[in-house]
Amino acid sequence: MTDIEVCVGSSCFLRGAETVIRLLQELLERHGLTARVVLRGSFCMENCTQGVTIRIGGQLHRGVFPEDVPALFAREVLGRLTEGRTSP
Amino acid sequence: MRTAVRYCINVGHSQLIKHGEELCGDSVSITRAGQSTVAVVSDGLGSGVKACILASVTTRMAATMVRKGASIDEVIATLAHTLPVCRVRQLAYSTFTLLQVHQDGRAYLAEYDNPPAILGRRGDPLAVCREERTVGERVVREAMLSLQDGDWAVLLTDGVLHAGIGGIWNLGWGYERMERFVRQTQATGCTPQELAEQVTALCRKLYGGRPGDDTTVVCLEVRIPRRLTALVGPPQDRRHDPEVVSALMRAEGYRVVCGGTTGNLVARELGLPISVDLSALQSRVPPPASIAGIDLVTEGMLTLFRVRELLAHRRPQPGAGDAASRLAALLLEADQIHFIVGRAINPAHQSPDVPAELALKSQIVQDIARSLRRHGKRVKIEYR
Repeated sequence: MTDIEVCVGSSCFLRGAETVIRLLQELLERHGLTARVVLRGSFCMENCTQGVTIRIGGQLHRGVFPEDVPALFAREVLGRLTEGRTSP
Repeated sequence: MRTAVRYCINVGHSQLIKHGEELCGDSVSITRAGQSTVAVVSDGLGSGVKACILASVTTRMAATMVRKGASIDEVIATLAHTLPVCRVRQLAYSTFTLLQVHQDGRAYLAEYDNPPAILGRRGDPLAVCREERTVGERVVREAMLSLQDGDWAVLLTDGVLHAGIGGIWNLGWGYERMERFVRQTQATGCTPQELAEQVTALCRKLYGGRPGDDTTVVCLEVRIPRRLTALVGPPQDRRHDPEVVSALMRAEGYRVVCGGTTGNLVARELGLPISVDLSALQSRVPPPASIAGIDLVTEGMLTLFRVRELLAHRRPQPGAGDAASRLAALLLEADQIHFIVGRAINPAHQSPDVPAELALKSQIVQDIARSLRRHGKRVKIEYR
């Protein structure tokens, strides 16, 4: 299972965490992955100083902006699923 | 062991000043001392400064004397001897309604020339057996009451009854219509302050925005105190984390945690999972989270900032699911609120992207506390 955690702490929220979550929700629905990938919110991941912090399958991605989401999703989520990689 | 119930008495009041005057000729005094709360409302003869002086002298003197154990006879005798005499009317006159409520629920009501107080037991009218007594030349109506959780009272001056006179209502709003409105509004679950404000707001409308008389409403509510303890931010010294969390968990009543890092800290100390509720995603503030045993876990500054706004301007929308509305509603439901404010500095708030005001945590908590006190809450702020 590839889980996605998005930080919704003060800092990430101000930098667009909500939009990032919406985009991820849409992408998961479009690819029919809502049952396979759990999208969760998380409070402060203590990487506040850059952009939205996301953890995909245990791996941290800092400074994510809404416009980065489609590429990140394709690489990290779809990529992982097709390669059959699982989260640690 | 069961100790006797100690009720808390929540009080709110609101006034309108007669159009064209600068001072209100009605006076309100609410004093809390020792075991009792004393609320006095007085309407001074005439309007403006003269009425204001008469009414203020009356409320202050009555409240102080009753609090010190004087009888109403003594209060009236003293008032008769000390109120300044109006040169025009050769009279020294002011009305009053006095309600003293002890922490154990015993209460004493005395009314002199004001419209009768309205009392209720939750949604029902509370029958009050008043006894009329003549003190000097004045007829005072008195009642001894035994109040309990959920009882409430509204004291008022005749400006409320006269609202709309000669305009919307030929003879003014009137006691019955006014009483019905008070009971209906009270039943919506508003705080005493909101109830008082809603009554005077309607009076102002009935008066067409130009009150023809000074108008005063005082609302009291008796209830078993509800406590709320809120942990806001991590303590300055990490070694105090366990202590602060155990203080929160030992507290009775609602438990609230504000702040992302603080939420994580509490979950860690308790060894429990924390999960963010994405279904309540709403654009103004980050969504709430949940930890077993904690009533509400929210993000910190953005949420508190919004709570401050909600409390300062209006009542949070009932049923609104976002974290700030839920926190504001919980705070308004509580009577005794304890904020434990951690003084750790969040490096993220030092970033130039974050509005400077958001970093002023203690200022925001103090502003929230001020709003809550205005609603009659007892608020304690502790810094860690």
